[in-house]
Amino acid sequence: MPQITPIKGFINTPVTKKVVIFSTIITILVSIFQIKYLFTLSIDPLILEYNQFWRILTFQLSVINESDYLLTMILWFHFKNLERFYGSQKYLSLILILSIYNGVVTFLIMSLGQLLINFIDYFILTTFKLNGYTYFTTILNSIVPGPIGILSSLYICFGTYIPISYQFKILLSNPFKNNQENHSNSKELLLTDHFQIHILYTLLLFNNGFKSFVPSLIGLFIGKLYTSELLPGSKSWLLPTTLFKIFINPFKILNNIINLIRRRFNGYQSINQIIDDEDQNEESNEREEIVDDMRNNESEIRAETPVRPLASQFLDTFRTRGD
Amino acid sequence: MSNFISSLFASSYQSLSNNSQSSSQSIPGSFQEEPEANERNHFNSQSINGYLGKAFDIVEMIIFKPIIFIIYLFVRITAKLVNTIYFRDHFKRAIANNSSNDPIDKANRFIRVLEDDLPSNATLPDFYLGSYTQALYMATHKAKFLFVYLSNPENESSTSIFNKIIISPKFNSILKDPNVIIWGGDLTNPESYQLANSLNVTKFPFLGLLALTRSTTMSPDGPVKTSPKISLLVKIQGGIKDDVDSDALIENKFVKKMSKYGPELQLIRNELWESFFNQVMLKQQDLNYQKSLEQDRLKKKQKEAEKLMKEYLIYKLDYFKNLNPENIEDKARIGIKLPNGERITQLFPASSPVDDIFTYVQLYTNGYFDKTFENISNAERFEGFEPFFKFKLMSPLPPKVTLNDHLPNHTIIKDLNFIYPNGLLIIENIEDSSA
Repeated sequence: MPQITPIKGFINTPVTKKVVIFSTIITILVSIFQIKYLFTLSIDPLILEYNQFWRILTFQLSVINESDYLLTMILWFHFKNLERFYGSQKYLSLILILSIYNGVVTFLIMSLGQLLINFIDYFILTTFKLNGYTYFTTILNSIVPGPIGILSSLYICFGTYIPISYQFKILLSNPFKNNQENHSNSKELLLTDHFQIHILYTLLLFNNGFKSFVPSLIGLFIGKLYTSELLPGSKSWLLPTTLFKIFINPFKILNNIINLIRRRFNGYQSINQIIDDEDQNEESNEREEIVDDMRNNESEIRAETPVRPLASQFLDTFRTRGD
Repeated sequence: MSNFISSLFASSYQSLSNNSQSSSQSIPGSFQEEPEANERNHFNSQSINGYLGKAFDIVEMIIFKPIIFIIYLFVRITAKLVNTIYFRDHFKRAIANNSSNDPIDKANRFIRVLEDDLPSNATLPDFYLGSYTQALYMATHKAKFLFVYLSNPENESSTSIFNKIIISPKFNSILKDPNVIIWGGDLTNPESYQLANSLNVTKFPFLGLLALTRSTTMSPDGPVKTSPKISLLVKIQGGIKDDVDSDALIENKFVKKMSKYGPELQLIRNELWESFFNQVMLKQQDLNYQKSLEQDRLKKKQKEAEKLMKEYLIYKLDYFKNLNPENIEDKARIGIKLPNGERITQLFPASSPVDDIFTYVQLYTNGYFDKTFENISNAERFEGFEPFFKFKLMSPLPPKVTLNDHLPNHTIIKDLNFIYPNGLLIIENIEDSSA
């Protein structure tokens, strides 16, 4: 199977791994417990009447339909590349910053935009001395929940920082007709190796009509601000390392705390064990590298040996090898 | 019906003629007066036309202009959005950059960025100026160790490997070896990005050591060495913790591997050099062979030419034998002084080319006049043949003109005043360079 991304699986991309796991778990839990209503955000009844401002924080946590889930997962998976580019800690910090900016800006645009449209309507009606103004909800009233804004901003980062390896043209006209003339640009489709992400993102952009289009546009705008270094605090801020570690490996931290408490009650302990715990991380890193190399070698060997027919494969199984 | 239409037209024509009559009553040369709107005929065709025009203007202002404006705005915004979403500007810029910038420029830019972060007391190793492909060529064809450093300033730990290893004195001392080169690249450069993918880098910054390696496999004919191929010997990826001793890390990772693979690499280098030397030798031999072949060919050609020359001389002999001085009306009397001091005088027709003089001298010095030959040749055989002579004919009087200069042009004797109507020429043998 051809590799989708340059990184195999989730090697050294703990943030993406955790994001994918958490999103999946949350989505499943949301479905099981029938609590989808907790993640929707709409201005008119929810904010205006019930004052549920906590929805600004929750609406990006989970998607509530399958196609959104699929698209966001594949995009997160592709954006592993960005995690490699930024480094895990910075990537997590970036996601957090983008989520905060997206949440706030989306909320502001939704509420203020709706207000503005209503005001314009009211203004027009009063200037023409017409009665009958009533408050109405607009396309900005509600948006689809899910990390669509964050993904849009990351998408801009992806397009800006990940270079294009190759490009190809799809001719939409007969190439053998009018060979001498230069083909006009409108009759060919110029695609790059990023085209799968472009397609996925376009699907996400229109997946819920205006409900996904509005947050996507805001996300794109914030992403543009970020890549042109206009977003305050985004370049230098890093999540504190302890929080990062908790996010990356919650069970390990839990284990450590339990061990610590147990140590308190068990009395003395040899020093080596403590040091071992510390070194474990690095060792696992090394092991990963070795596994990685082995995989490499395997794939190389597979690539170098010629294709054998089935019969010789069977025979080779029973042949004793020289080495 | 047609009558009615014609009457309508007639009436309109009439009204027009009335108008023209009224205008003709005014002073000639004055501006034509605007037809006054008649109060009585308020709704004539002209006023209706005017009102319609105004109404259309208003409709255009209210409806069409805004629609066009909105469509224009919509199209512009959509285009901008499409450009943003599919990175068309970015992409075009990248293409333009790729075509205009050479790899050396890119390498220079990368080094310049690194130099900005350089502490004042540290020295930057000499990064290879060129593309990765060129560096790889050096590594494979000259069997060198190749360090690859990949980074980007956006990365969270972009400076850690740089500060800990790249600019450390120990690492610099490794790079002093002429058989070790280091190449660096920014990750936004497609080449470095592809390299990172092919090396399976999962964290940045990245420092790797590449070199030619080969393995020995046992076969029935004894141990066989596989052909050398480039491979990643050791890598450091991701940030390095602050408490790590960089010297120990360099020692453990790079120095160890280099000392392990160094001897084999030296062997490969020698083999490469030998094969290169052999190739040069082969080329040299080939060149020598070609040269001797060329010489042989030349000799053969010369022989053939000499043979032809001899035939030519024999062919010409008849002409000179039959040349009767009394029959010539316009003649040049030319005295020729041979190298042995002997002096001969011969009459030539003034219209014959200088070639004849040479031919005569050649015939005389060869002593052909005393012999008889069977003349088998005819004129067709010598068409396009340029006779060559191994001597010079010169005029002894200053300015010492050499007659050979006139040979290629086949100048007629009459045109040369130092031999016509009479003159003296001395023979000078040309040193045969080939002999």
